[in-house]
Amino acid sequence: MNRKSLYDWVMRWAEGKEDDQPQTEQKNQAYQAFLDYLEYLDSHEYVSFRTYQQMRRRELEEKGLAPAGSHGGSTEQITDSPRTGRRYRPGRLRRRIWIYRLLSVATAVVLTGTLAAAALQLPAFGDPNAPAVNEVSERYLERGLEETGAVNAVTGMILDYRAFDTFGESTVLFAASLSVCLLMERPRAGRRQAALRNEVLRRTGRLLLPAVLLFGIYVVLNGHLGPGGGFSGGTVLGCGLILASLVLGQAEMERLFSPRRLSNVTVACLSAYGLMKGYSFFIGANHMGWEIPKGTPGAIFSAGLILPLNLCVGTIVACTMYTFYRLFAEAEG
Amino acid sequence: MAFPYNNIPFVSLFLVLFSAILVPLLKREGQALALVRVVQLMVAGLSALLLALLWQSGESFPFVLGHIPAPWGNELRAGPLEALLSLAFSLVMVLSMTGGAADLRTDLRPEAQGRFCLLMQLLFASLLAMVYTNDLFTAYVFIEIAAVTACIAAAAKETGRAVAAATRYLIFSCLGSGLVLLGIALLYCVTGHLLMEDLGRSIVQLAQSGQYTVPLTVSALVMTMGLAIKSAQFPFHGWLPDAHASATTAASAILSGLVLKGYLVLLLKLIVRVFGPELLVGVYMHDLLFLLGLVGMLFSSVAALRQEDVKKMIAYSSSAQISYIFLALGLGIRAGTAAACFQILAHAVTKPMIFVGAGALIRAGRGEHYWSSLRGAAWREPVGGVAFTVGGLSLCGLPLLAGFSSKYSLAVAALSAGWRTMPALFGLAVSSVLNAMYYIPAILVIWGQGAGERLSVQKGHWELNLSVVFFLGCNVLLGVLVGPILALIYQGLELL
Repeated sequence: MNRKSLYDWVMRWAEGKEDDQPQTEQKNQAYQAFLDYLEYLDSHEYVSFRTYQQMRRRELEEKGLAPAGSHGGSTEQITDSPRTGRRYRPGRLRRRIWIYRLLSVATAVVLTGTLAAAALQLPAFGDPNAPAVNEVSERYLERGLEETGAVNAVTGMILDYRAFDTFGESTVLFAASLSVCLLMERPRAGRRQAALRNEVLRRTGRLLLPAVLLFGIYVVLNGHLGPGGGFSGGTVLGCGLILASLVLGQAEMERLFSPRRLSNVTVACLSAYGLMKGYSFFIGANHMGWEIPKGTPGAIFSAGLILPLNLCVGTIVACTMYTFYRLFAEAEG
Repeated sequence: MAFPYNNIPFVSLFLVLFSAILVPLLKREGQALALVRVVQLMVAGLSALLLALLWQSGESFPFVLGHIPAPWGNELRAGPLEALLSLAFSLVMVLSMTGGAADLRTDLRPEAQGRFCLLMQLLFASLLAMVYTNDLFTAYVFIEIAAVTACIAAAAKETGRAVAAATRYLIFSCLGSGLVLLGIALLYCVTGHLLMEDLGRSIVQLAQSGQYTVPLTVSALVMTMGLAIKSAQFPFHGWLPDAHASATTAASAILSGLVLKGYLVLLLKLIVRVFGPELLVGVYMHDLLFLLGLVGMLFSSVAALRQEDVKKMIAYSSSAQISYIFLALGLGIRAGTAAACFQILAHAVTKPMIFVGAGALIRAGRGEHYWSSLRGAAWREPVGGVAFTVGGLSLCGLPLLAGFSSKYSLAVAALSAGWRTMPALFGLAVSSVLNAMYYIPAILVIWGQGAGERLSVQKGHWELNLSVVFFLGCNVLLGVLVGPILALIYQGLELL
């Protein structure tokens, strides 16, 4: 870097002109063309990049700046001449990009400062006199076992005391997986991924697979007794499924986990979750008293609904993770 | 509230969520849309019943979710205002899904339609939860659901522009959620509560004793900013025009009619129930809201004036209308808050009607959004034309329509707001003139003669006709019954 004033350096950075990394001429041109394209999109109807490039070439030809017939044999038709809106000001965005960059830095600095100032005034970590140590958290810890039957206080909290929030969180997952499906699922759009070619990786994967799956099941089932639960166990199970699809190949996996079946399993688990929680919310709120027996704390069948809820959440998380993987793998094909 | 009726908030939420879960099991296309609309109608009916009961008894009641009472477990709370909002939201939801159904069938791939209905149902559930919840963290969870589903609603059309706009929306939306979450975390650190009543009580104590002033201020600021970003208030509205303009009709209607309002209802609850007037006046929060509103209603209207794309113009006008709500909240008096609630209702029934009308007009034209191709479109699609015209006039402030009543109640509220009176009235007048400056030419264009084309009147689809008729009815109802509805809102605010 040349010796220049700090101001110069900041401005160059803000305008995105860091020529420290040498770029080849051609790459630079393609990059510029794409930037132009983005700018064009900013003030026009959407066109594909190829159409845009052809349009540009035709323009240049008309001005006599490029040799005629340089279309490269492509046959894409340009529909209707593009509308040059009143607001089309070429180069507008790029010339002003430094404002955006500087403003974003300024915003980040101000926000950091404000939040740091607020954080400095907060009670110290682990302070016994902090406001957060009040009757709310006390009851979770002291009466959690008696009221929820779960040895693991965290599970008791998220699946019993504040089960509605957790229902919402599982719905977030459901919404996210549905959104990805909506945007990415095409009927047989991409190739199915084959199994890993590397023999060593494949063998090791096969060796690991049962352990991963078993561990996932253990974490799910053990959620009310010790560290674990549906979310963490489901993640392990989901990783197991992804590993399985890498080791066995997608075609093999689809014999057991077809997309349709995965979606049905997710729906079944979510509705079971909804029904169970709906039941306990309803009888709890109306004081009907038909509560699920809590069993002996510490036994595997205890803590009322927490075990089946954990099973449902675990399945939902695992299916969601695997579905994401499948869709992205197919799209990348 | 007596036994079966106290369950209405929970039952409506549960019905909506559960019906959404069941959608993937439906085999045929169209069934999803039918199921979703039936459930929305049922929720509307339940909310109307709840509203009638609560209005008569003049109470509000908590609903404990589960067997453990509130500071430990989750809680919903319903009063007249909540019931009114939930009634309005469910009606607008079902009308938008009905009026936009034709565009939905052409804009989306068949296999995507069911999923789109499902996501809209989840979005509706999150709005209901934001209306009813009494717990800040529950509110945050449902903000997340709304963020995910709203972005996908914007992207579902899958044109390049829609995806680009939805990506921008996603980034803004995540920023907003993150700020709200930071605010909640700060509040929890200094008070140890998440339930709104307990939070309010501890904040009053903290404000009196002068403890933790900086974290409290920062949390109020950060949460207001987050919600302002999510509801597209002026300096943060960059994502809105593209996201609303490029989505399919039903999504545009729901996004600008309801989703923005859900966050505003939350902001209202924060102001009334959590932070309370003492703290907010102490940190000049009202001035901030007032200024944001005032600047926003002028700038967004000017921006709307410059648009050549009809849906973009409507979207900018949404941002201007949201500014009215901020302005009303910033007045800092009860009348202002009531006017804000009325504006939430008025805009919720007006803007979706305009979007549904514009969608029909665009379909009747050549499928293009530009003014030049919409010339005379209203003669080809009279129902859509009427919807657009009445909606536009309502937002300009034609008496007997919802927009007029909301401007009127805002102006009346502004009269007793001290130094804010003159700026508020000035802003209201200028922005009404600006509204007229872009809506009236637009109305003239769509009713003008098409360039040389022989125009034939198309018979509108029954879904469009039905939804426009009901939208018009709601609009006139809100415009005429401003007195009783404001009384209801005052009652609801007392009980909030």
